Amino acid sequence: MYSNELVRGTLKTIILQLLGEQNQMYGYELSKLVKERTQEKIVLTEGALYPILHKLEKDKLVVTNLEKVGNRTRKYYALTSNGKTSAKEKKNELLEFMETLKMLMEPKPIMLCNY
Amino acid sequence: MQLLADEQIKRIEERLAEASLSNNSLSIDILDHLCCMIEERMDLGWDYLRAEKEVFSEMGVLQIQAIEQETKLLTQNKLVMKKRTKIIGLVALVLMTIGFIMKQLHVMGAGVTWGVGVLTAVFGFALFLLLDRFKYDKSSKEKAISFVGFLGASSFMLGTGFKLLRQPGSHYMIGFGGLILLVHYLISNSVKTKDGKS
Repeated sequence: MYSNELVRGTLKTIILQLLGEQNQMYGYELSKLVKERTQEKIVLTEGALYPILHKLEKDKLVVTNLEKVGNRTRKYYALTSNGKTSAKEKKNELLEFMETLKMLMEPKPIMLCNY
Repeated sequence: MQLLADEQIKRIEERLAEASLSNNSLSIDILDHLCCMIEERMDLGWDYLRAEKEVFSEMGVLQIQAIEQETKLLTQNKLVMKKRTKIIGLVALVLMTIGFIMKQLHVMGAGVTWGVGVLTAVFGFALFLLLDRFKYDKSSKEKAISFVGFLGASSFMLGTGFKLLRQPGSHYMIGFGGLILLVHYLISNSVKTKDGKS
């Protein structure tokens, strides 16, 4: 499992990305999907997930929809058009950042010319 | 996945009520999350009571309250402060009040009590408040605005503290602090207006 420090900065991007793939998702579904896809290397804890989801809702990047599931209410989250744009931007930014990190961590050997 | 029965959901609701969440929207999320966690364990063959016990040991009242606190901090634009900051602020206030009363009664040590209170307010409360803000201020512009606010408030509080102790230069500090606070107010207002328009 990766450290919280590493994961913290990417949570918003991860959530936006996953919501972009599905029509709508609820909190537990999101955390389970992240756990499964990353083979438990990234765990989206409730303490991190819900504050971010509520922040995204406040920023109008996601909208919520309440549905009855059995005898309880479930809240589904879906991206707004602004959220979709933000998801794309954040994904590109993260991929670029990963490339940059790779350049930093695994520098290519410098070719020296002999004159 | 099997769904929980009415009675079981009621039990979870009762336990969730112990956390006294004020955010109803978050309560819906947490209740559903807890139910899902229990249902998942029941699908593995656990009985309800064992699953409930395990889930609440993983996600207890304190953790649930912490989620609400974190949600508040992230979603509120208002003055955000952590429990630690509030306690330091309260200590400062108590010290200043006691110091002030002692001063009025001409009791020995009034100046020291008042001074410690003012210093706690400035270098404890105001500084931690600034750090709390920094955690949630995203851009360097927001951080700069918070810092200006801290500077103004600190100067104003120190000036007021010095004034009561009849120290020289206190009125300059009060004036400077007041001016900085006014600048801070004007800048934050103009930023808010711009954000509102965009």
